[in-house]
Amino acid sequence: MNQDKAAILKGTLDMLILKIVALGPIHGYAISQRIQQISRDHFQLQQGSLYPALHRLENRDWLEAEWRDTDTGREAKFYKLTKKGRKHLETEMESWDRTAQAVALILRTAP
Amino acid sequence: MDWLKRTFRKRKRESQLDSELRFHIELRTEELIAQGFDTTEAHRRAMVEFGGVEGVKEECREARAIYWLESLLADLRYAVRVLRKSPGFTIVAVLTLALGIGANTAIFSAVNGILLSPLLYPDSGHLIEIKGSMLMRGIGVRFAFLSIPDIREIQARCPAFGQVAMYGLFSGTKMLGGSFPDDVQTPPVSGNFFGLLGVDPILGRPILPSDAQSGAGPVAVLSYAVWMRDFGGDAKAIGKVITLGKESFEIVGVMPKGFNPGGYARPVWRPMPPPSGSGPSRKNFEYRAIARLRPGATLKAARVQLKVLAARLAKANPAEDKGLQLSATRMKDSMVGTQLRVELLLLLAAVGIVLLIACANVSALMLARSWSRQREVAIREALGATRLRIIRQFLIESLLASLAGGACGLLIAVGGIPLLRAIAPAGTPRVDQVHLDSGVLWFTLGASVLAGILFGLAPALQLSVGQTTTIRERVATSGNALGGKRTNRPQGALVISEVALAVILAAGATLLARSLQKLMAVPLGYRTEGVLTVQPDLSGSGCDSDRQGPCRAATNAILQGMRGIPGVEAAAVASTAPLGGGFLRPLEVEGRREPTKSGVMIPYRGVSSGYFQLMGIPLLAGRTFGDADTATSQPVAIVNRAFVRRYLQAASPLGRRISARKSETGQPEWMEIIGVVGDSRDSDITETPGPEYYVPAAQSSADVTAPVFLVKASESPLQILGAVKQQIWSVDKEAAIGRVQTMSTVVAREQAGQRFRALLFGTFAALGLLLAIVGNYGVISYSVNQRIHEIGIRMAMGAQPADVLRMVLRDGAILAGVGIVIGIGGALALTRLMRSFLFEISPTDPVTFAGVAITLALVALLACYIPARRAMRVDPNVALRHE
Repeated sequence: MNQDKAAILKGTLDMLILKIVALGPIHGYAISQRIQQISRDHFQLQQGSLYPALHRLENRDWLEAEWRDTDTGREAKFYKLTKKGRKHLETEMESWDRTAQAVALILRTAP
Repeated sequence: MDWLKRTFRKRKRESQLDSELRFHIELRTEELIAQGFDTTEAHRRAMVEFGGVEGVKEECREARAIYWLESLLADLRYAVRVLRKSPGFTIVAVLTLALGIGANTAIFSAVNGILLSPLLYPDSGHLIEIKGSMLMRGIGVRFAFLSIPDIREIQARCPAFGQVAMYGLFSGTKMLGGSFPDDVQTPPVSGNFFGLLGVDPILGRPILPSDAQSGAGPVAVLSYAVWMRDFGGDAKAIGKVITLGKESFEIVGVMPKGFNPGGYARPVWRPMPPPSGSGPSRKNFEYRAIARLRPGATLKAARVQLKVLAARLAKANPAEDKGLQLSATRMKDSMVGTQLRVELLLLLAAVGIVLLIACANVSALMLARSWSRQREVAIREALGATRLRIIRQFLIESLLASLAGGACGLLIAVGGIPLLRAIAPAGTPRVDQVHLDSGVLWFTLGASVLAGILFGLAPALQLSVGQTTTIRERVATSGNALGGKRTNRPQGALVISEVALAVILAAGATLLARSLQKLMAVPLGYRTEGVLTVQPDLSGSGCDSDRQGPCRAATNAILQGMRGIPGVEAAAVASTAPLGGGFLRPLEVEGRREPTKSGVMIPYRGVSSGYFQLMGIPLLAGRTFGDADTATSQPVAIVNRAFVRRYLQAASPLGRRISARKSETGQPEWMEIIGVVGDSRDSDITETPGPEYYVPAAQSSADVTAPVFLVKASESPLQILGAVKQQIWSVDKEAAIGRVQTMSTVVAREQAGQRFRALLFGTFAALGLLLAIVGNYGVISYSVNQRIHEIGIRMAMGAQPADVLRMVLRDGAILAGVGIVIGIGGALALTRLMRSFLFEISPTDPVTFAGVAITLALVALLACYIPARRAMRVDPNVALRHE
């Protein structure tokens, strides 16, 4: 069961990342800042663990990356949502709703 | 270059990963410095917050690994867990599949070895056998033999063939010079024969073109079988001189095991005699022709050229070649023959059906399980698993089960293949090629994967559809008693198809079994038990086919001696043994006009006095041969009952005359019919006996150098074999005693093909039937379990146990009934393919079909009865609470 829980969490992190990147090109550090901001009270993210997730999402063609200069003139890797990624985000959000529904239902009906 | 590029790309990726992470840490450090930490502390904190950099890098690299492989592994791990969690299901599924796949692997290994695998000759696909056929008395007769001039014409005029070699008609020949006088076959071969086949000897050299030229020293090449049997596998055999018939030959080579074109028992090859005098005759059709296709030439082109040549030969030599047709077959095909090919493919179809039944069974099992897994699927779907992903998950589970089944099946095949080789009828070509090889292993893998997809797809699809119902419904109702009934339909279809397939198998097997039964029960017309036949080759000192006197004297001396051996009840001599082939001669019946001038061809046998009594062939009229019937007395004959019925209807047969020979003046030499005996199946046990006649051995003109002695022993015939051999050697110490058989084994061998088919089909049918019953039982008992709630309500409302029993049985009966009807239809369509394997029974024999239908119905009902009884004993109180 532990693994299943981890999978759900991983899926949740993926969704959060996609949601944040959907707002516009953004680099890893900024994403971690946003996640900290949004969910400070809910869970603490080990900052390093963000990067495997980013690379995984990039590998699955949901994100694409580009090196460009930041406002301070330093070069950084910026992530952008792909078309495929946007579609995936939509279905993810939909299924999230269903998950929440189902989990609630199971908690009520399961013996 | 590629390697360089890849290395470069990898470096770049690594350095980018490095700078991406460094950027993060630097930015965080700056932020912390801005918050008031000193540089060292800020950097330390940033590193701690980030976590182990190297670990993160490794995870990033892993994240870039191929995604599908990763999820596949996850599915695989999950599948293993699922299968391990329900060992009962897994064991039944794996065993069922193991039986199906194992049987298929074993039979496929036979198909592979006999039909598919190449011959051991190099480039054997281009080896062609050329045969002839002719119209003889209105009947097309195919024959393998051609005349030497015709074969030379083929070489000269058919450019599609590179080389044409020939090997000749063999006769059993006595070989002296080995460990003991032996009986071998000595086909003469052309000088290019071994070169064309391209197989090297394991010892010495093959026969070369120079050996077939006049003036060459006589040489011989041993087959592996003769080398082992007569020379003990000794390398010193090379250079030894042996006597074949009357001539001496020097052994120059030994061929490898399995090299045996023509399929003789113990061949010794010798060069064909060099042309002499006026050259070889067109009249003697004594050589078989083999050829290699020229590179680039096709079999089709070769056939066209042969057709043209045959027409030309027929025109040029009307006396010998009129109506000649030449055909070309690939050597492999001509070796195996259509009958065996059809038989093997039928067997493959039968085991294929067994595998289908096994698949249907496992599929039904999985379906039954899948209902209880609906909740799991619903949750997974809710958590975002796609439909494809769920189908894949189920397919991986079924593939895992089927691969495990395939692995166990392989073990079954390993045990089954030697068994198969052992029970294959004697003389089955290439049976030594039947073994597990990479082709068979690929087949097993393919069959396993196909089976896994076949039985896994239905449950997977079944589970992943139903998108229309909401998750709420599905989570709530799955596993509930009332939800089950409608959803049983796919399982029902599976049971129906299982029963139908089992009916087809059972019908085929029953037809074959009844054929065997009839064949074994057929009255042979002669005795077999206790009868030994021994055929020594007496040619040599004094006796040969031109000087019959010494042969006859030796034969009589041996016969007298045999009658004196203790344990011998009777002994007789015949020109050919029953079922040992025979001679045909044109026969003329006095006072009867035949449609052709030369009369009708009728088999005959020369027999000594005491033959009929020993063989138990009844004398119906007149007398049998006695010692007074000698070479010089009045020529006489005995005919069988079929002869009388066909040719001598009008008057009493005794005293009438027949003739098989004309004197020099063209007058028939008459034989007087002195007796009538019963019919016997002594040339082919599957055929109703036709007209036959017997002449006294002393008056027979058949070959006298190798008479057949028949000995009736009071106990086991093999016990007196030693004494019989000694008796023969005491008269002729060089006699080759190669052919010794008991009549029982001769008859058993004639039945072997039928027995083999009946045994294999019977086994497969039993297997299929068993699986179908298990399937039927499983589905009915599952549906009873599902309906416990409903049954409880019915009983609470006043239904009697008998009503419940009837209800459950009716469900099972409907499934079985529909299956049987479909199966009978399928069997009626398919059994006619087996017509040529059946003996005295129609492929649509109504008794067989009715019997199969009734048996299957009864068995199917029995399979339902057990769950039905359980349903009957349901306690409404318990059932209503059962949820």
